[in-house]
Amino acid sequence: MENKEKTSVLETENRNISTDLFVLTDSQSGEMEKIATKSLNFWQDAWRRLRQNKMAMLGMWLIIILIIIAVLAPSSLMAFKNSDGSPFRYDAAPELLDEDGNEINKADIAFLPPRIPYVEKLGIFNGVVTLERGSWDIFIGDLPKTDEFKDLKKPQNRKKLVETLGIAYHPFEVNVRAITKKDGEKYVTLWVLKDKKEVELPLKEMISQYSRYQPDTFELVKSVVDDKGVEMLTIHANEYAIKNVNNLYFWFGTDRLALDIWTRLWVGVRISLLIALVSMVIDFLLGIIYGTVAGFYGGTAVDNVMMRFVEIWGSIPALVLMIIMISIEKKISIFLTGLFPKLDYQGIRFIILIFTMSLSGWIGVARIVRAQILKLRDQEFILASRTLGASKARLMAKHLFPNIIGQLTVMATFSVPGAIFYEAFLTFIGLGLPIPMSSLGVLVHEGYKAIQSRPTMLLIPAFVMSILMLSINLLANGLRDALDPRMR
Amino acid sequence: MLRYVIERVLLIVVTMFVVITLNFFLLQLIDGSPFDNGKITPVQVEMMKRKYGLDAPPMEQYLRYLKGVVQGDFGTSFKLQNKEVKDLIADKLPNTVKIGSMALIFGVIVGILLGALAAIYRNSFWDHFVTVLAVVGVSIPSFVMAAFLQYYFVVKLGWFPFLFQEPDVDKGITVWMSVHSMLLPAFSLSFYVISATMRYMRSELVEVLNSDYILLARAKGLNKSQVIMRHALRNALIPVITIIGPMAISLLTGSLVIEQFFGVPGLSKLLLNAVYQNDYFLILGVNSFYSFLYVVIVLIVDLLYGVIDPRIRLKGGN
Amino acid sequence: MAKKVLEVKNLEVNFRTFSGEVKAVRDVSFDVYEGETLAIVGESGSGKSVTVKAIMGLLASNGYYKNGEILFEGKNIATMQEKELHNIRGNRIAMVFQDPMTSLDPTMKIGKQIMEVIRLHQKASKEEAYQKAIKLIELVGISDPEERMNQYPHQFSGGMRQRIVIAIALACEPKILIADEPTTALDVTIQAQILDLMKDLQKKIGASVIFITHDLGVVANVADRVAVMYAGRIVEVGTADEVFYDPRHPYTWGLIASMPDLDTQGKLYAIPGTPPNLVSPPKGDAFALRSEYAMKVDFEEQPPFYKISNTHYAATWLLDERAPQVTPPEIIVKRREKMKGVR
Repeated sequence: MENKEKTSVLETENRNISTDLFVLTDSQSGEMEKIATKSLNFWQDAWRRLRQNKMAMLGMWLIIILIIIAVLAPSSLMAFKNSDGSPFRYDAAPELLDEDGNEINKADIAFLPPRIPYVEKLGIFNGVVTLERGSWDIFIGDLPKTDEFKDLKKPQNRKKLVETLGIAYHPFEVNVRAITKKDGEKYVTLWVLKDKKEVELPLKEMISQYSRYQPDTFELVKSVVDDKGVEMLTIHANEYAIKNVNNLYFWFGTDRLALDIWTRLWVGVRISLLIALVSMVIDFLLGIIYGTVAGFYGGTAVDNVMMRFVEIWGSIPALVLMIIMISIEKKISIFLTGLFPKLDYQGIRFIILIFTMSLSGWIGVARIVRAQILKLRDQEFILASRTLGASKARLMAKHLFPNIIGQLTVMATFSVPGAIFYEAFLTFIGLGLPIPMSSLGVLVHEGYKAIQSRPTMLLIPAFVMSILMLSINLLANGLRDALDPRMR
Repeated sequence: MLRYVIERVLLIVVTMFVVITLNFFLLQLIDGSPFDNGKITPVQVEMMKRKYGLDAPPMEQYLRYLKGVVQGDFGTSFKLQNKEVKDLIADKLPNTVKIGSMALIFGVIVGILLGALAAIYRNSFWDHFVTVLAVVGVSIPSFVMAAFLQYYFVVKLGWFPFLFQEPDVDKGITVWMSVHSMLLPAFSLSFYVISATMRYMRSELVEVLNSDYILLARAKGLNKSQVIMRHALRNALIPVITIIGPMAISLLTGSLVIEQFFGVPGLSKLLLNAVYQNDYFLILGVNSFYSFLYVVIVLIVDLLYGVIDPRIRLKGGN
Repeated sequence: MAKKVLEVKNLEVNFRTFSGEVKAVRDVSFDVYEGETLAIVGESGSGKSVTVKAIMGLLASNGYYKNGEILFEGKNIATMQEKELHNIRGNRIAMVFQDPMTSLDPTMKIGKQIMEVIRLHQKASKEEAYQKAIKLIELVGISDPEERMNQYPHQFSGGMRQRIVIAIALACEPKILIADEPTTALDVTIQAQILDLMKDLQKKIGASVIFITHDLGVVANVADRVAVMYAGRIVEVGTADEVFYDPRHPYTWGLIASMPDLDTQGKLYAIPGTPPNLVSPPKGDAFALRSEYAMKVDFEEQPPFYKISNTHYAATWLLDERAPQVTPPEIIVKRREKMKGVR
């Protein structure tokens, strides 16, 4: 204690403490008993900690945004409108008029790439697709299937074909060097093979009336001639221009049945979430009831039998159960129609889907609920409660349940992205919702089928699905950390 | 310990029994027969049914099937040139297993490494990055991942073949080439494994690093790497093993999509085709096999856990 | 004059937390002499654990040395590099923790865990370390050492595990043994055994012991000197006799008074209130709010140490010559009388 050796006289640095401070005050111990900080209950504390988790908050906001869009975008408030003012439907093609006021054919708006006004100026979402086509397709196109043209297609009738179509050269006679724009008009530079010289002429003189690729509808990227002399042209084609619907904008494009993907996507998000939530609720209800009963009769024969059943049921891989469901789908449909005569095909498939999804999930929940109940059953406060005369039901409600609910909430949140994925997976192997219903699974499935020709049909729903699953996972992660009492 | 193993094996037998029975009777509900192909008349269908004994009452068929199973005969496929079911399974199984185990091993190792690094450098940039990566890996559906990988590495970069190739001397496909074609599907499958393992490893290791015995290890004078290598890792790895079992199972399901995408002639394709063609015995056979695989893997993992964790090993039981 | 093995001077340790900086140790100074047992007493949150962890350089990652020195064998631990600290830990200064059930690696044989510390610091071969470990196990009173070496922690009772922890701590014959509430988690009968064992071994090795506890009974059993900590500071220090029979700080009065003895009648004394928040510690005497004997000055300035004897100091304004005379609680007075009478 070298540095603090003091005698009864004060000699600290600059302190001049007046003697009248050496007077006893009233005890303030009462103040101490007042709790210094605000007292938070369990949920408030968890919420506060959740708020601090940036990733979880990001996830939460993303989910909220996606849900808001999903609710509003297809609704009459914000949806794109048909010509009669009704909002686009997810299961019917849009009915629109062209610039001259005529009804547009469904075929003309089918399978269009995404196009968003203003964004298109950036070169993306501009309704343009990159294609590789032979020069025949570009310049001549699909000739009518009459005998006359069958004849004209023959190699010896090249000159006649050129004349009939009114084009300058036969595509097999030239190679394309470049396409340029001069004074607002497009010119093509050709290499004439026979003459071995270059010519330049207006593009419209090279394109027949039967080609879908009229001059204003595409840009040349490159031309590749293989060793057999076959020329393949890579072009950026504006599908909207080609189909003559240049006044239309389908933000996410349309599918093969001319259904608007934007609308279908957001309806799909709704339905996927609905399916996920419903199957989760079923799983949890089943699991909680089962687990609670087993837990309460823990250790007895009832519990034993129940757990054996769960083990055996759990030993059957979900895959196997799924396969069986697929196999007997028809029989189930008949059974369901018998039960609920008013159900249509879509409704039946919906029920089958949810049923299949709920087959295995409840097991995990049941196990955890049972384990918690067994653990809590023997804890002292239960004993205390029972000593005071609480009935079994009261025990369950007031003591057991609040303790479990944290864990269950986390489990539930985590199960949602799994359910979304599972639905997509089931759709992929044929157990999902039928067309024209829409769900993320359906959209991804459809998109996959068109992956070569229209990759955006897969990428856009896959992206949205990934973001949705990602945000829920982030939120679930945050919830788990926030509700874990050890982290306090 | 021995008693435990015997109990579990018995349980497996009972489960298999239940599974086969359940499968069998549910499949009886299938509308249509294996012989439907649009050209056949109902009379001919009846004839075929009688030929294969499918006209007998269900119980009789069931007992006959069971008898066969016990003797190792799982029936023959109707659609696939009367090949025996067990031969078909044995034929397709290696492909599924090859890719699945590649994915599992690769995924687990990478997952453990990344998870350990994230835990050790907790709350650093690396940790956050790895965590986000993990969540992303779990969130992006495997088929999206597969499609994306195919698009990039096959179509655009051409580093890998589009489809899986089996070694075939005649066609000039060497074993090495076959392995090369396995990499992309195995990698797609492994994403989920990496993410799940990584998260679990990280949380376990973080918990271990906060425990008293690690503090004691430090108090002994061990430096950081000694503490981690000698004490922390082993304790954290033990619970991680428990998730390998369920993951192996989900690899089975996940392989369904991957096999479709990459054209792998594996079990799942066999099964799906059988389903859509009402090929009873094949469906039964593959389903039962899947269930069997599942329970065996779970048993192996449980036993492994019991062997590795001395607390369980020396108390003899779970 | 006994030799000092450890000098702690004006130690300040802070922790960075979400709610702010926690000032866990606020200007603590004390010495430890060769061969003695110094007990540090205080409530949870008084800073006693942090202080001793600071001595070993084992602060959590969000803790840091704000100020002060910890002088040991000529060097300052507060500024030492990790490498040097590795040489000290387990070797020159060792520690025994509170909960024996979780202090040992559950997946490593205890023989290996003991040998580990020996081989780490003493360049021993496996054989040598093995033999030494066997001897240590016997030394701490466990029979069948060869068999025990191959067993895992869960095969031992709590008391035996603590013995093993002690064996590990003393394996390299450290100069200082820090015991952080080593008997709190044990049964009372086992407690006595462990304390006896520690006293025994301490004499054999000639080590000094810093003993942390909140149990005054244990203090009476083992301590030569006692330091009382409150809210991150030492409020009173002296020999065991002095602190027990002639305490001068109101907090010590509260502690001692709340300990029943054979003559206790009526209600037990309990100190009202709770320790203060160390993110924003009070500016005066931290105990003032809970003390019946608080003066106005207690809320303004922190008291320095006042000397009562060469070995006895207390940091309370009550010892200032300007302070009014106060009578400590009855129990204290009675015990003072008893001690004087006995002497």
